[in-house]
Amino acid sequence: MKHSLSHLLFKNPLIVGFSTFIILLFTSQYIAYQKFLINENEQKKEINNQVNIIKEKLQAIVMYSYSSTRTLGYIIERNGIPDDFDTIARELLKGHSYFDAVQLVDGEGFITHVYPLKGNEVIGYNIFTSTTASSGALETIERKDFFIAGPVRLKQGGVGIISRYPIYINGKFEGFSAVITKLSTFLNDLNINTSEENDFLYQLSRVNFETGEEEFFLENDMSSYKSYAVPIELTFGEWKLYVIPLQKNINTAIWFAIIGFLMAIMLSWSAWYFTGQSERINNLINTKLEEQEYELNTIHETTRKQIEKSELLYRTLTSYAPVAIFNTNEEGECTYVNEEWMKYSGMEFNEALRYGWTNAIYPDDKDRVMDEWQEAVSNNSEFQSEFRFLNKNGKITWLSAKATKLVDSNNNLLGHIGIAIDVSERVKNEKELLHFKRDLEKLVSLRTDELSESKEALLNLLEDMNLQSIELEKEKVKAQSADLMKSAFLATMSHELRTPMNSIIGFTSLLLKEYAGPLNQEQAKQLAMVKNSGQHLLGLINDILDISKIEAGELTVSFQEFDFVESLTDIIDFLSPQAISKKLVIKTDLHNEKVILKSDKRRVEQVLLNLISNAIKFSEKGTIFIKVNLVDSMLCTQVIDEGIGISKENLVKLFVPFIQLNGGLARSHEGTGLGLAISKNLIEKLGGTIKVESELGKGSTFTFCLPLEL
Amino acid sequence: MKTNILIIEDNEHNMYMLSYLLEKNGYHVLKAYSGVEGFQMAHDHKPEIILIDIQLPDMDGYEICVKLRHNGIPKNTTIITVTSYAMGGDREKSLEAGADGYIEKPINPDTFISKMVSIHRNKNKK
Repeated sequence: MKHSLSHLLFKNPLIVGFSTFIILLFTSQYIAYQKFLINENEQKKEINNQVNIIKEKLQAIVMYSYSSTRTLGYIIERNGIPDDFDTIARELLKGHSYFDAVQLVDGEGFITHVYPLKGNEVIGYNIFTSTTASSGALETIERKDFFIAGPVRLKQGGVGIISRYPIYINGKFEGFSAVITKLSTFLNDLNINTSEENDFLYQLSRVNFETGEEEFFLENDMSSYKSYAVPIELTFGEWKLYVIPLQKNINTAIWFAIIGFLMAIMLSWSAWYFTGQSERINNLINTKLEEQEYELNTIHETTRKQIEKSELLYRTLTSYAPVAIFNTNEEGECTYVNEEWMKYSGMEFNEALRYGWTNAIYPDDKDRVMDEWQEAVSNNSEFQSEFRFLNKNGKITWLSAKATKLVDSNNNLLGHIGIAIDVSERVKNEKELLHFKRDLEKLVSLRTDELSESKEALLNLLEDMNLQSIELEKEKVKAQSADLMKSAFLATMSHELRTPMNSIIGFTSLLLKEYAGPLNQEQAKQLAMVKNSGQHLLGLINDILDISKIEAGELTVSFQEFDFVESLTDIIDFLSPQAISKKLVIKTDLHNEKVILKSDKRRVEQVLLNLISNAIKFSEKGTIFIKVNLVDSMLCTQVIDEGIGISKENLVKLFVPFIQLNGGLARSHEGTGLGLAISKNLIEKLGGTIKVESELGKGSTFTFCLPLEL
Repeated sequence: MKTNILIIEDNEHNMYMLSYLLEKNGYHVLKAYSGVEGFQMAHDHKPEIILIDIQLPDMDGYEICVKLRHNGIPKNTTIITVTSYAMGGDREKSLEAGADGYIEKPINPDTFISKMVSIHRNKNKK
């Protein structure tokens, strides 16, 4: 009971939170109080230190004012009022920073001398006319000795003390020597100098000996502060030093208390929250559990209904299924057979139960089927077999049976469920098939013999063919090497053919230059013919060599920058004699004075030469027009003639090697017919395109375009 | 003072033709019929212009170019290769080997002298 009570208390978040709050509050406030006590002790120590220091300073001030006043008094008693009063006074004032003025008062109470004059314009003032100014003066006269008056509200402002010494010459009172010390300044200085170490304000008081009342040196009222009054031993009167601590130290304790209080609230709130949280979680879990239990119940009920339903379905299905269905237990004993099974066996339901069903098996099959069944039961495996049933009415049915084991989730055998179908028809068919098969086999073996003979013949044939293909391969290699040999031959011929041509053309030219002597007209004419034929032959040789290089794939081009316009002009200059002789005009349309082309100069010139000389060759009249255009970064050149033109069917064959159009034996124009084929190859090799447009009888336009730079 | 020209050429006809052409045009011609002979004569006579046939029996013309350039003939000697290959790339090969120019065979007597002079002038301009 006690346990449950404490448990209950602990479980109640409100109680936990509140008790945490109380405990923390008390602890923190206790600590704050202790802190406060420590602070106060430290403060008291500090106050004592400060009081001692200030007391010594005050004592020093009082002592010095005493000695200063007396010294002045003595001087006057002995020598009368000195002429150099100011000098003496200045020396005296130097002694202490809080001395404000030195005065002399005559026997009637009139102030006769003051130093410094500035700020002390009181000469001629009678001190006896004012109670404050005369305070302590009469006392001095009465005592016939030094006395300190104060606190005195000074005429110059501030509150101070006045040290007076009565001067008696020949027993007669002749006046006072006086030193005024403004103690309010001293105190103000102390208060202004409060710093980290000095956390106090100070006030000084003295009991008025006439009224017996305590009077203060600072005018500000400090009664609202908590202060410590310490009596100070000074001569002449009861002095008290008030020490007023600044709030700082106490504040730390208060802060401590406040923060402690706030933390108590926060922690107790957390305690309340977290204890409450566990309660809330518990509630949540309980609710969830209840929901789940309800759901489980629902599921259970639904499942039961479903099982009932499926049981009904199973029974209905098995009863009316057109196959035999049976059930056995884990011992292999029959527990159920359906209508169809009973139809095959001619048995009643009860007759089939346990091992009664085995009696339905045809006697010849019985031992085999029993063995198979026992094996399936003992091995927990499937049962599969074909056998005959002998009906009581004598009818034999061939059955194909299959039984699947039933196991629970732990893989324990519960029994078997099986079906058996009537396969009598199939068995009958199979028997017939077997007969067929036997016949067929005989036939096949006969055929196979025939085929194997054919195969052998085929293999022989294949072998022959293989031999032939090897021969062919050899031939191919031979042909290829012949190609190579042809190329090598052509390369050699290139040099060998050209060397004699070099001589023929060269020497003819030399002779024509008449270095060796003057030629007559006929000699010159004939030599010119030799030169012309030589150049023509060289052209043919070059064409043949080029085309063979192209066919051997050995044509190489090299790229360099050159001026296309210059090349074109050179070619036109070279060909114009031919044009002039046929009364043809060559016109050019060049948009630029200079076109720098990066290509194979010699090959480009070869193409130009071919196209323009073709134009001359196939024109009988008109103009040959050469247009040069820059399209994007392609240089396009058109050679337009007004010659015989080319028919449509011939246009296709134009760039094919060895074909001169309008050909056959009736060639009307000299040439190999290789020029255009070579030109096409060259232009394509140089990254360009070439095309032709033509109409029979009206002329042709050849256009080739080359990239300015590859 | 006639300009000295060394011709390195193995074909007698060509040699005759070139030397005849050059002499008729006022040059002094030195003849070498093989690479070795030409190399020797270039050193002995220090001609202003050397014409080299690329296809020689003993030495490749390019090889002679490289050797001459690296074996102390005066730097301002003009070396011109004469070739009938015209397979493309002859110009590059010649310049790479240190020749200053390249004239294609068959030699055209009408233009040969002017081509040679222009290559020689360009060389001396540099």
